Amino acid sequence: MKTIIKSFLLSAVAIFLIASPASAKKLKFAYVMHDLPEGIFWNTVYDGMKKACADLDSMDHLEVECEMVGTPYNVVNQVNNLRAVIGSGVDGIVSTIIDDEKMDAVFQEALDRGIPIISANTDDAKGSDGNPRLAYVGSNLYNAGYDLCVAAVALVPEGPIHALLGHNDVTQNFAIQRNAGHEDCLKDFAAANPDREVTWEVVEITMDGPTIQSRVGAYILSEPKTNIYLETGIWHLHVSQTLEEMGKQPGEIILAGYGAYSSLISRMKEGWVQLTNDQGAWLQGYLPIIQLYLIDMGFQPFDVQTDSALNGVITEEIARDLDVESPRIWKM
Amino acid sequence: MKLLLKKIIDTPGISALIILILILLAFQIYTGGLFFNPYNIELILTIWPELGIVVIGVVILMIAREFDLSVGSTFALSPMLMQYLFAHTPLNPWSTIFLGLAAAALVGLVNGMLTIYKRIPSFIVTLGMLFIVRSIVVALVTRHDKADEFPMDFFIYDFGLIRASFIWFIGITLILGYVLHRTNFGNWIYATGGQTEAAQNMGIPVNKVKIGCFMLCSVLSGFAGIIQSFRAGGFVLPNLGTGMELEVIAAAVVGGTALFGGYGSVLGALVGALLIRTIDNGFIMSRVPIEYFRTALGLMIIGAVLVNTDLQRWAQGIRAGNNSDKKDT
Amino acid sequence: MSSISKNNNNSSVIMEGKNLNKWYKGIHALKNVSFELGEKEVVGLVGDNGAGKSTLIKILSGAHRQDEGQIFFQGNEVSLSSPRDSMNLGIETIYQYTALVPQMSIARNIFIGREPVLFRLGPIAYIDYKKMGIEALEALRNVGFELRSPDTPIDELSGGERQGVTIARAMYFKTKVMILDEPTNHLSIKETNKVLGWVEDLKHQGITAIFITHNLHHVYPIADKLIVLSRGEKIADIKKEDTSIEELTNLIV
Repeated sequence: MKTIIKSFLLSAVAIFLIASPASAKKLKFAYVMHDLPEGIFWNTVYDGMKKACADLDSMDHLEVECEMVGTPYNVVNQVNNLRAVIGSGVDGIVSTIIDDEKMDAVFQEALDRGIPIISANTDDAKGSDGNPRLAYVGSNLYNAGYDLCVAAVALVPEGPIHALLGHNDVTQNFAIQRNAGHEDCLKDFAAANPDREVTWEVVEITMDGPTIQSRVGAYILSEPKTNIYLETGIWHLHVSQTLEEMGKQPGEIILAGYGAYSSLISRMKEGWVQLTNDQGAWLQGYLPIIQLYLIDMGFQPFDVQTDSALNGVITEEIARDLDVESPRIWKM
Repeated sequence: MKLLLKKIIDTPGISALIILILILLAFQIYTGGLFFNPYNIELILTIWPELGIVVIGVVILMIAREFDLSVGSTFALSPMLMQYLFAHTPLNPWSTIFLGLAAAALVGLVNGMLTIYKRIPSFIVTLGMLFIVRSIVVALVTRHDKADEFPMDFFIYDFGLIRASFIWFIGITLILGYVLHRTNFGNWIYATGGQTEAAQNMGIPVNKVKIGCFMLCSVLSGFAGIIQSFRAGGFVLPNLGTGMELEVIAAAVVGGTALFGGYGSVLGALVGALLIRTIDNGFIMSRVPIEYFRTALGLMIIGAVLVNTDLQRWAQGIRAGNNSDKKDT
Repeated sequence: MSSISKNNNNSSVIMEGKNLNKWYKGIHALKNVSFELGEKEVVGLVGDNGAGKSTLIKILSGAHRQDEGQIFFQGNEVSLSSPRDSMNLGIETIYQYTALVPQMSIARNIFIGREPVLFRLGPIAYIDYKKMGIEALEALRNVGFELRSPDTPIDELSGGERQGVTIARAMYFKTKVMILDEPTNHLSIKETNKVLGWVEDLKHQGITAIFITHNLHHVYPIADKLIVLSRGEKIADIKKEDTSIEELTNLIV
């Protein structure tokens, strides 16, 4: 009798063990950032994070949960959010670093408790020397500018180059850094190609569609030798409309900028816009979660630039194959 | 002769028109004839209506002695809601356009009700609405690829030098010009803004007049926003119209509209909007260095208003000199 | 407080107030005031600041409503709940500072709210400009006021000329009772006399005028009757021939 009960119990336990998902490993990751998860950019980041989580979760031996914790730009609140996340016992943390000093301690706290923590989107100015974070996944505005310009210049293989550098706002960091990348790339290209005439001019174009159209249109009319337009923002679509109205042919002036919204991509498919950098928004959500998983598996963490030429730049060829539902296309 | 001159200068917007002509000539000379290039004219005629339609609404509201700082957000709300409804409901494109404009009218109604019945200055109410409406716009951000189904030609068909939007602009200008300058309602708007108590004492429903002006201003903003979104291929960036509130007040003031009500004209609105749009364009062609661009723009705004007031003072001087009765006071 | 009240047997009363009371946030601004206005009469309404003069005229002009009491117009009890109601009966009020819109032309000011219409599209009416200009000049001429152009903005007129425009407006619209709020305030002597002349003329045009002032010397020469208010109460209601400047001055002070 006893043996019957025993074998019954054993088989019940065995069945339970085989059928139950309890055998799966549970992982909980948190993404802490300095903004509310609203707006196009963070929405896209959020989509990326959710997809990474779902992809990992779909594996039989894994059960993964992710949450995004946002607060309007405020270091103290963000540090408090990090402490709360650490206290709740997560298995890995992604966080933006919006202060070079005030966030170091809480990062160390996480590591001391054995929770891997990496930065995304915004890093310490001194990188790993300034903060104990294990890796950084995000953009590098200057490098992105440089890369985009290199790709644009490559589309004019011979003859002189005159580039109009559309600068969206001379007081804002994103525009200043990208524009510096554009200018440095042209300087380097001119130095490396003394046989070619390379000139450029920076014009502040604002962040308003019609104003940009008016200014860029006026510039191109008065400087017909312009053959490259590089913008620090997302309005190269508007410029393409003005060029069309002015009777230019697609590709007559190389248009390059940032952003990956649907109507821009369809404009690229028509050949009116040559290059755009998607800023790696989706990757900034997807990759850090994958990194945390890799760290959990024992891999060494590594930095990723999400908007490098390799990751971020969408060419006409890439655009042609992009579906409107592709995660690379911003939700707008 | 002098009196005729005075009459001309007294018309709000005329001095701005004179300034505009002088500036256009200066640009033409300075750019070596490039400015009046057909492409550039086409460029300006395309973007002028989108600002001008909003400025007309703002000028009429300012004549009624109220401000609307939320125009830029309303400008984005109409097209954004239109898109959202189109993507998420079975409504046809025309219904979504109508509902987009209705939402703008609602913003105007809220602006007006809070200003009139809660006695909060419209500057504050509409500043609040600027943020509230913008956040609604961001929340409505929609991705779709059915933009082609909108009746875009009706709003932006390209006739070559002009677009359909320019015809809309002219139509709105004529209708509102007549309403403002030739009808009883226009008379009431001027009276309400010029001296509210007097208007009230003469039995004019000043509250309704003001609320009507708020709603008109919002609907015009939404309409211009829809035009601009169609021109951008039927899609809306959530920052559409950002910063527009200051641009339109600048245009209104340059066009001779008084900041404190009772004075202004539709002609002034047209000229002010055109000045703001061409100054920009002409500066680029004249290669004003990037660092000084804002300075030049600011000087131009202040300068235009200075010339405006000086001319008006001079015109009043003509009258004072001719009138002996005036010495009694 | 002494009070004089003499029975005035005016044969035809145009307007009458009975036991009017008004409170503002607990302050009893008008206390049981009754009065009669005869046809073609100039009535001087005098009293110090805070006597209740402006409360009374706000009630008569329809701007505010009395809390208690009745108003009769041409023998019928009336309810005045808006300035429109009063204007429709032929009661026109000219406020000291807010009768005219300074930025607008004389013609537009005369016809504010009663624009001559050429045609109508729903609530919007197209103004008959030609008629408006001609009629405006005509109205001004009726008060002996010659102007070159009805398009002159009000803010180019002197204070006396402005009063002339408001009086011309009231006469043009066949006003029966005209309430003038301090019409001679801040005017020069010459202009004051001009305005007093216009008010006297109103009588000949068959108009009753209520002349509100704190300056007895302005109203006394042209008034038929004087009503004195003090702290919300009527303390005198007397024909001019039954009193003197001195007697009234003592009452007010």
